[in-house]
Amino acid sequence: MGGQSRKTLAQMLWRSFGLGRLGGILAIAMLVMAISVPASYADDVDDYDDGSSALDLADPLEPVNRVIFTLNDAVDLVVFRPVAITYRAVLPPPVRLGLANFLSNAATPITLANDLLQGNSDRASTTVARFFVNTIAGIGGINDVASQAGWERHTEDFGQTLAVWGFPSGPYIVAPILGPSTPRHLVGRAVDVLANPWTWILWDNSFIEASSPTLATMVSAREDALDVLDSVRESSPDYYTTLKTLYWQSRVSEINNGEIVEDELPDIPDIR
Amino acid sequence: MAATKAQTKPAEDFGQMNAVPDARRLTRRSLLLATTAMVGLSALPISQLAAQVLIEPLPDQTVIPPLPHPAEEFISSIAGSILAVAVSDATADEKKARFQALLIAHAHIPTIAIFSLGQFANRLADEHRQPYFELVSGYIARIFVTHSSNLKGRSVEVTGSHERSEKETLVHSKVWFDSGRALPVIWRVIRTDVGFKVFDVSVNGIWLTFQQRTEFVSIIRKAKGDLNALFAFLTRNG
Repeated sequence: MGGQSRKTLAQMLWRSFGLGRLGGILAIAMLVMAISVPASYADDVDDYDDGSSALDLADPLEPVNRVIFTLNDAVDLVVFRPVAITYRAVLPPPVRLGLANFLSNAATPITLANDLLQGNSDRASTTVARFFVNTIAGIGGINDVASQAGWERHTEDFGQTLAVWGFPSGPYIVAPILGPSTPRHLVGRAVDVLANPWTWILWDNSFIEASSPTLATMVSAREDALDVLDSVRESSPDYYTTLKTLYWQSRVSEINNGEIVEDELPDIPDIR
Repeated sequence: MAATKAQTKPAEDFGQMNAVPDARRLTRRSLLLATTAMVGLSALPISQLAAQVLIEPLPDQTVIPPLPHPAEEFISSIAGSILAVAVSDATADEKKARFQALLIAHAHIPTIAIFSLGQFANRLADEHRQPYFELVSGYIARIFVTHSSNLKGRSVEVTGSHERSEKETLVHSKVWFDSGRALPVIWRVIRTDVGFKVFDVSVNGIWLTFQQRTEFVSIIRKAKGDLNALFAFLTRNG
């Protein structure tokens, strides 16, 4: 163990999230603040809330969230977006697709574990089938031949598992660098980092090497979202609110495995 | 010497195991077959064929498929027109005009517009209703044009429907792209006196009218409940 034992859990999480120490401290501070929001303040904010649907996410920390959102957006404009544009310019589409497929295939253990934790054996068997078909026939996961064969890709994470188990999401949180989240989602992310084999395989490597799967995933995902985020930024009356709602709707859809939960749909007004 | 050892040992082993005269050639043939199978598999047809055989049931000649719900036919009839606008080479203003015409004909703009005001809906004066409805249809059309480059699908396939109530039906569909990717799209359709009208559309899990409501409410909240701030925004961006 030696030097390895000197690494704390927090250091590992920061490193695996691709965060610096400051980012980690801010993330933990946000989590503590979110959990300790006075109920009276949350009640006051609820007066503003439409409150007619599960697609609404309470945002009692909005002032703090907006500050962090502004900082994140600046980092995105200065670092992540230019990196994503360069990545798109340098690598042709088939190479980018191959890398995205490889990263998705490498994340299979997380999806499989959470399929099983959610008691979803059908999706677990699909995950296993996809992994073997893509790893063997898809050359290490570069080609997603399983999708072409009808086994569609899906992802699961521990945050979704907590939701399926009935844990409430908590309020909306904008985490430093990570962006839109909730306390439940942040806890899920931390557990997924611990459960990810890559965390342990790269345990003794340098910061850059150990963070490379996370950084590669972030760059690939940011490149994939370039056009959509650019047009949302251009057309949105309130970028913060738009991203918050997009995040939560997308998250609810992931938790429900893409199925519509009719009780969650807002009522349609009766207009003549 | 080492190479000679490596070449002769398998033949000796096979000779001890059985009486096949040319076992070494058999081993090479097996390897060749295995390699061919791997290459063939990576080119996908085997797994694809297996999946089709396993997943798709054999056609049953005696089963007559049920007639599609009228709401499905409604969506089938309009989805192609929407895609046609998205992929057309028309100018932004032409696209906006064409999509706004589709909206007015096939979406229930008053319901969408009132819903989008959230808890501020009761502040809309009667004399402002019609101008507000026109602003909303223009705004949605402008947003559609902004995002149309991301919506250039090849075709729309209606995959089913579910009648939630006498008035409302959910119609499920997929938009297919040239890359072979399919995007799930669900339509909330309401039955009116003049036929079916679209109330909301979910693209990959995102309900667009709901999304719009949070943005409109945010503008009104920032203006401390003054609807004129929203009207000014819609006028600028419609």
